[in-house]
Amino acid sequence: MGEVIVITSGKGGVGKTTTTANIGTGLAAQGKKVVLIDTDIGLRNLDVVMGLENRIVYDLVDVTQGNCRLKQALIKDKRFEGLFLLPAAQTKDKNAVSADDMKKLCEELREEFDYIIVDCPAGIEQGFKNAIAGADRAIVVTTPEVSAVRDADRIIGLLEANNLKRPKLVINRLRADMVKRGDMMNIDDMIDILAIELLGVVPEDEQIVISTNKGEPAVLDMNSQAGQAYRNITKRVMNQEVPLLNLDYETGIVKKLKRLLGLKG
Amino acid sequence: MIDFLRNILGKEAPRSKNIAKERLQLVLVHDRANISPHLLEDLKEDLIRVITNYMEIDENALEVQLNNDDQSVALVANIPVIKMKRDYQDLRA
Amino acid sequence: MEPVKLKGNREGLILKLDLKTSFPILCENIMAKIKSADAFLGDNREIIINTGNHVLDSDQIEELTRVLQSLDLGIKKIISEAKEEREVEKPINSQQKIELEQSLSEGSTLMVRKNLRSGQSVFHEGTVIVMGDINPGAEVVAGGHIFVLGHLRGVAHAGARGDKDAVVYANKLQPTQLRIANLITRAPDDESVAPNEPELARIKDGMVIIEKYSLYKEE
Repeated sequence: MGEVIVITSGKGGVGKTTTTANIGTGLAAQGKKVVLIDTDIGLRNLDVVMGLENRIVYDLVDVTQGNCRLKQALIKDKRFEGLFLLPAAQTKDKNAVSADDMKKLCEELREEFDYIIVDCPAGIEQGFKNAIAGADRAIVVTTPEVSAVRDADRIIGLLEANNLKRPKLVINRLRADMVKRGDMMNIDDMIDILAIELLGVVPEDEQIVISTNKGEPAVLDMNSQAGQAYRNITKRVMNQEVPLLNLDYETGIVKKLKRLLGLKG
Repeated sequence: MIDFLRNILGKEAPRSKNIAKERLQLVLVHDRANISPHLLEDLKEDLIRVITNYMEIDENALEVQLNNDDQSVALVANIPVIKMKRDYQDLRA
Repeated sequence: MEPVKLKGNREGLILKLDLKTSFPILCENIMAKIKSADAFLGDNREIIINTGNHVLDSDQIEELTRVLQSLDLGIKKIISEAKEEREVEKPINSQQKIELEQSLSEGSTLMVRKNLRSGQSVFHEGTVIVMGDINPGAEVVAGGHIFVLGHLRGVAHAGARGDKDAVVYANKLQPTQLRIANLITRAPDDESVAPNEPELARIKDGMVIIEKYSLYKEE
């Protein structure tokens, strides 16, 4: 029996889709059977991030309206055997999918997949409510900005009200240099405010832009820090214990200088 | 000189992240209790109206705020009383 | 097989139609079937139409709606079963139907004088000429040919009713996906070179081929 995990954030642009693509691909790389569902009808993007946009024939709305069978709409990933994408509709009415449709769909996919990862639309309207309808657990993505953290807090409240207790947090685009300077909230600040469990921290990494350009999730890039962060997050999703990535940018010289001045580095 | 070095080493007084955290904490108190500052102001006026039926209070020193714990939100009012109204009993009659 | 079958499932009552039967006879059969099963229907006055491997055209949908209305019935939705994976046979849903009716009559040419952006789509029974670009995420589905006097980066489906002679022309032909009749193609994953002259896509020997328009003219 598979597990349905919804990826949410409230605020747009914090990296929900990137997180979905990377966790999904990461799980598939660990040999799991995974399906990614894009529920952002009218503003689909998961297909481009995965580099599968030119394979789409049917979409989520076609499935729920009975225009095609579920199997026909699932797009096989080009890298992994066990990874599939169910794309959102781009040209259809966004109310074409109901919460009941989502529940039914998740139940059906559960039979065949180990993980069903649902990419949620931004906002707290019906699209969000539909997306979380069939989920067992939730991951909340935020960036270290006041606006994103505030929206994350709102989303956590809504998730809990909808019986998705104990959602976990992914902090995206953390800049260790700014944290060090005191110009960006650190991990503890955010955990303190949001009072939920941390699933992982992804550093700001230009590799993400490059991999999105290419349509190849960064989790497969063995040389990037973001890739390592996503691999760790993937393992934690599978309930393995992995220590937090050390995001220390400080150079040896600065450390020495600090010691010299009696400031512990 | 030391100050300058401390400065570039990031050990100086409050930086923008502390401001961010404080502002967030404040705004979330209201978000979580689902009460806007405006509503709190209305509540304060209503409280004054009711309480002044019974006693004289220092309206300017009156403080009403929502306190946020981990699990719960509490309404805390600090209302300095100047004196009890003498005609309190008459009101009941 | 019986031309008309009525069955129920979780979603409601399904009227399965065999479109090999001529349409007027089919309508008569529907009348008879519904009348004989009226008690079975009860309060459920919305039914699902299943057209098997066939697709209803807009006239047929209209006629069917009229027949069912005379029986005090409404259509919940129309579904069809595509024969096999990766074969396009999208039924016309109600939303598409409206767009079809708004466009000119069957076989005519529709001129689109603007750029089609992500999320926008055009459905037309005849030929479509786009005087502008079709961006990624936009879609043109035509019963006939598609001519793009601009940059085609989105999805184009010519000969959507099965016409294998339909062609897709574009000043710059760089589609996300190209469909002609029931064939689907896309660019190879590692290729992203922009074409520098007009190209034309058509079916040749059961495959979609793309050639320079200048060469096609000479052929």
